[in-house]
Amino acid sequence: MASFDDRLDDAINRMMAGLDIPENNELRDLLAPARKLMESPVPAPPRRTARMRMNAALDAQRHRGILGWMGLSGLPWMRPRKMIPALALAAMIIVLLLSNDALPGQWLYPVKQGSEAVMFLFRRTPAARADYYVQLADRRLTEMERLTRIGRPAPASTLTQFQQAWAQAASIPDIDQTALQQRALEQSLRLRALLPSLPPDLQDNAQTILDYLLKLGGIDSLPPLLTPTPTPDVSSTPDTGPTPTPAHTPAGGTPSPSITPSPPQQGLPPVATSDTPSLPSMQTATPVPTATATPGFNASPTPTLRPTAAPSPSVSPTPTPSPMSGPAPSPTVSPHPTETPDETGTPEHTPTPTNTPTSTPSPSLTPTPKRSPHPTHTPRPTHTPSPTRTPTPVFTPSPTPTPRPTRTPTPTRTHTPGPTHTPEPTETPEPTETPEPTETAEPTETPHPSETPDDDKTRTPEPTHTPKPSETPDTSRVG
Amino acid sequence: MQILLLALQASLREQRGRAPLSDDAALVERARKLDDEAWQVIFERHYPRLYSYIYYRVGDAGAAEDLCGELFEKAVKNIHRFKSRDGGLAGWLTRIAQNLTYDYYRRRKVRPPDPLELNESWISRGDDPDRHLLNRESTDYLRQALQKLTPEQRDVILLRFIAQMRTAEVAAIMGKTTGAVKALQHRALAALRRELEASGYHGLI
Repeated sequence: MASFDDRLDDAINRMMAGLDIPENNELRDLLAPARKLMESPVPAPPRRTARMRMNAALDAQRHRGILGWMGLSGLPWMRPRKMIPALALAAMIIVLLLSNDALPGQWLYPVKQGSEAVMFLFRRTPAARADYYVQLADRRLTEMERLTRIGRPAPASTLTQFQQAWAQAASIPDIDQTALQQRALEQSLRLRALLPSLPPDLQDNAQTILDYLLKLGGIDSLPPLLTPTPTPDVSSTPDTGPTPTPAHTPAGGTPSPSITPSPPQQGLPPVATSDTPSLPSMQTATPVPTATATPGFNASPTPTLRPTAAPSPSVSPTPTPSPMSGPAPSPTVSPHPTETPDETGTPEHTPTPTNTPTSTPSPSLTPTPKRSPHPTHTPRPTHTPSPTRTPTPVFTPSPTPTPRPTRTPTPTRTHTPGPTHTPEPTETPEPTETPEPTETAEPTETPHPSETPDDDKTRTPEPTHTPKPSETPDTSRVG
Repeated sequence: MQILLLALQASLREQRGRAPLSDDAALVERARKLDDEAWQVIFERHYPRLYSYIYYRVGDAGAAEDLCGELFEKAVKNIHRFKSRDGGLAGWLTRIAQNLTYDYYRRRKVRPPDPLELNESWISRGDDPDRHLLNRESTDYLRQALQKLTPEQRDVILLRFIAQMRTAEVAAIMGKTTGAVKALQHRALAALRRELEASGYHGLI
């Protein structure tokens, strides 16, 4: 049976619907006040204002806000006709984005240039405008690079625009010249790399622009790039120590060639480009950088060499000694080390540290303490023993030519790597022997060695060795 | 492909076809498309009771009219959010009215005025004004008695008898079950009767 609440509710519903209400005292008592409320008067509801507001809201809702303007004022009201502005805007954005990658000759390229022109309007300050022009030049350069990459000739107009952009950028006063110079150098490097692949008729113009950029960058030419060639030698030198030497031997006449291998070290310099020409410039420009490379070399090669080196000593002694007995080799080798010392005791140290790590293995070599004696045997006779030093023999060939050549390779200095080989000298033990070397008046020579005969230097190193075990190895070679 | 397009067009045409306005769902569907006719029907159907409800809560005919205009503006803007489970269109509109009156008090920072303060030109509600015309005396009694009820009891009385909503709709608005609303309605009517009797009102017999 329904509860009283239900029956009351049902009675109220019937009363509201104008139907009969069941006779029930309890229900009647409760329905009386309800009826009074329903019959109570209310003010006449004015409808005009409310209706007007509702109609206005309806109109506004049909065209409301930005979404309404774009035809997106609520999904329920989306209509194709209203989507037109939104679609047009979207299409415009897509075209602009696509045009960013357009290349000269493509149908979107004019759009790209148009958008670039528009972008200029937003650059108000001189610095911003300079930046704009530099960016513009960068875009043109990139276009030329991309065209070259896909085997299409770069149009003259692009090169002209590149030049004009830089001219505009440089003509703006009161801008950060340092930044501009950096950008100019950066782009000049790229342009130089691109130059050979440009159409022949553009190359002269490109060279002129390159010169202009270099001028902007504050330098006269780009020798550094060529220098890389020399560096290679350095790198090779160390490596060659163990194996390649023979190859060098023939070329030994000119020690520099041996240096050539170093290019890998430099890495950055367009590896392909510089082959031979660099020789002269080598010394001047990048050689120093070679130093940087050295560490890397030390790291990887040394380890590998080590193992090989270790055996080599034992084996090589026998074969090489006789031929290479010409202690001359040892001098050649020594030059490298010696030179390092020449610069200054300290500089040498710098390399030594690098070697030191490599030297770690040397300790293992240490066992060959006998060698250490050799170094100590500074005297020529000792050289004989030096032959025992397999490594030396290898080098010997090249040095044989003359100690001089070795010196010429002043770069060798940079080739701290030479010292790296030193590790083999593992003669670390030598330090212990140091007393002997110290005995030699070489200390005084140490400074000179670089200047004076390499042989002496070789000995000189010994003194240096005294301080550092790593170096001792070199001396041993000398020996 | 063409067949698909034709079918799509046909279905769109069908959707656009005039749905019967007697049905709440169809009415809402057309209202969502900002159909003028649908909104006029909604206005005519709900305005009187919504106005009365707001008037009883606000006690000012001018404010009630303003709030009613605001109510329909909001309804037009938010009709796409309407869900049938909100107590039907009547319940949804009444909830908007309720929120508007709360906002009204909050804005004014005043205590709700006497809901039965009669200072306007009055007409009786119902089909026959002459028959239902009440005197000011009974109205005064009712006003005073309503003031003595709890807020919940007053809400259920106003929603049920002034806004003329069904129990389920009131339950949806008040967030209660229909059983709870029926019990509350019972207690509210009993309390109202007690208050009227206590005040010496004899019109209940």
